[in-house]
Amino acid sequence: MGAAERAVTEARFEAYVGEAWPALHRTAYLLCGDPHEAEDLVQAALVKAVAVWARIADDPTPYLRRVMVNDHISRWRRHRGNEHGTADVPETAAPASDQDLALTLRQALAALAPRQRAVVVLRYYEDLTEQQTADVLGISVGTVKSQHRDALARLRLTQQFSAV
Amino acid sequence: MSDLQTALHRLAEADAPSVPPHDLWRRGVRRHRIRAAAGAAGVLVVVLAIGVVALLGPGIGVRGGVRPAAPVPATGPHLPRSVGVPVPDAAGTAQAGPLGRLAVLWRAGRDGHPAGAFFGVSARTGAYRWLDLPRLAGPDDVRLSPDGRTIAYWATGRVLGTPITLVGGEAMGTVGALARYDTRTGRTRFQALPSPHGIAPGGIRWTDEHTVLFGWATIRSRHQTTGATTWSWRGRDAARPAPGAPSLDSWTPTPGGDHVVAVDDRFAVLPAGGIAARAAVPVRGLPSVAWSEVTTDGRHVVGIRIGPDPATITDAADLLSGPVRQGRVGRLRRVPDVVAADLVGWRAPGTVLLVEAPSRGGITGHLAEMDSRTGAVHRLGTVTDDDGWPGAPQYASSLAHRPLVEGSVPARPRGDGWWWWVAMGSLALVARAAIRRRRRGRG
Repeated sequence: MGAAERAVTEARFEAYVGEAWPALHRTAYLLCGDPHEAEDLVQAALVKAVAVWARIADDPTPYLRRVMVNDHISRWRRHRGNEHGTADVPETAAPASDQDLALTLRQALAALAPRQRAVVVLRYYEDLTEQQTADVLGISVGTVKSQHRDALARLRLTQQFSAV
Repeated sequence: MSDLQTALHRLAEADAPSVPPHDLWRRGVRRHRIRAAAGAAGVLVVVLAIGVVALLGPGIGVRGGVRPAAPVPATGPHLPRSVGVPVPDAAGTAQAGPLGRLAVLWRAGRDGHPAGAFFGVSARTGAYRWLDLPRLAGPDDVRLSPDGRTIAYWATGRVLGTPITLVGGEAMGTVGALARYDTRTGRTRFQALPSPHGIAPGGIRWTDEHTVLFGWATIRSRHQTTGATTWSWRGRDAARPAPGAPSLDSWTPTPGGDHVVAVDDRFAVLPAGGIAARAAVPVRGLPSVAWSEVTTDGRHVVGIRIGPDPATITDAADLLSGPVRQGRVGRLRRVPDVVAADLVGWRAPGTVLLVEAPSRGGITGHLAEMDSRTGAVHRLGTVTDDDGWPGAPQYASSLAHRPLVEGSVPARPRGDGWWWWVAMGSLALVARAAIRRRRRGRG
């Protein structure tokens, strides 16, 4: 690859980053629940993407989603011994405001296993199909279905999402 | 939009993204170079180690637990001991022509195919080639026949009325046919399945080398399908409904032997060549579990049980083995220290060939054989996937009893000027050794 071609590639990368950063950050935030970790996830994914950019430049978002999800699950595995997850979704009274609803959702998402959480985010926020979700997570469609079912069962324990 | 969708979007909007750092590209390039140098250094170390071992002779246990290859005749189809993935821009069958009878069918990253693509490994030459499967609707349920001569898959097709996509449906095109791709001629036969709004595809399974079963339903509305049915398509005949066919969920055909179908915690043992299920046989002492693959040689059953661990990122799971007596499956025992990704077939009565999943965090699995009576597992070769696409390689199971050939693992591209990085890695190693020597000299 010549210098001029490299410059064009880098410019395309920078343009993509500028455009996609907010959306990637929001997805990462939903995956992990922490804005700082979300930023780490997005940065790490973009840095990794540089090595394969020539191959994914036409549509880099699926690759980045996949890296973010897998990085998040790997981090969760490494650090879960230091954290104390809740086995049950906390019971709360009916929320009176959007802030309460957001808090309830954050707590409900935090109670999910990371892959279940990823399935919920990819299916309901990113609006991916089961096949696309399976591709991102590197699992079969059948496993996506079972994780989806289990996640919704846990979320339904909170009254606010009984309609899902 | 559901409550959950709305709530997730509100929660996401509440996040205030920061400004992206300006040096991501530079960091990415640096990381790539470091990894390339480390990889090259690793390769150099391995090459040096192999050279040293070769010089010192066979007395050193270089093979570890891997069995040496059996002598292989020069002709005839064979399965390879080791498999990798081809380079993303390698030739496809559309340009290079059909590959011939396949030993392996697998999915990996190919240039211009965001959802990945399928490639084959020739059973006769060991060559790799991307497969351009006409009208391929999606990556789910692309199935290699036991003899490696045919690939069955869902194909796009014509819809009589308005196409409808199911809510939560798959990312496939408008499915309208089942396709059979002949790996020797490159020709594809389509069984059209016309419907008013499209069909919802189900599983595809080969029951023997010529017959494929497939399940499908007609889409009635965005929320409903109707007429779920299983069809059978044998040889040159037209496909037809197969009433009484068993569930397509979990089974692996056994050439010349019985089939086993697993549904939750029950098995059905099917007579060879038949598709009418006998009464399901209960398996004692098992919790309700899902099975990804089950096979039998008539005396033993071996199955892969998908575990409930939510942190498990692949479908690879426990391997279980147990006896079959008078058509009844006995108590299954978990084979310790083995995480299985797929079952290939039977090497001989009592010896099953399987794909062992990559180690946790690794990218290299193994082709292995297991004694179904003792549970002893011996690794035969490597299964290397650089990209981590879903699914294990599919092998031509009717070749499992033949001697294995060595096989090749294609070298994936290392980026521009990789020789330069190899040289730099070597220099780095030499420099490190020199520094250490100097320090030792000082000490």
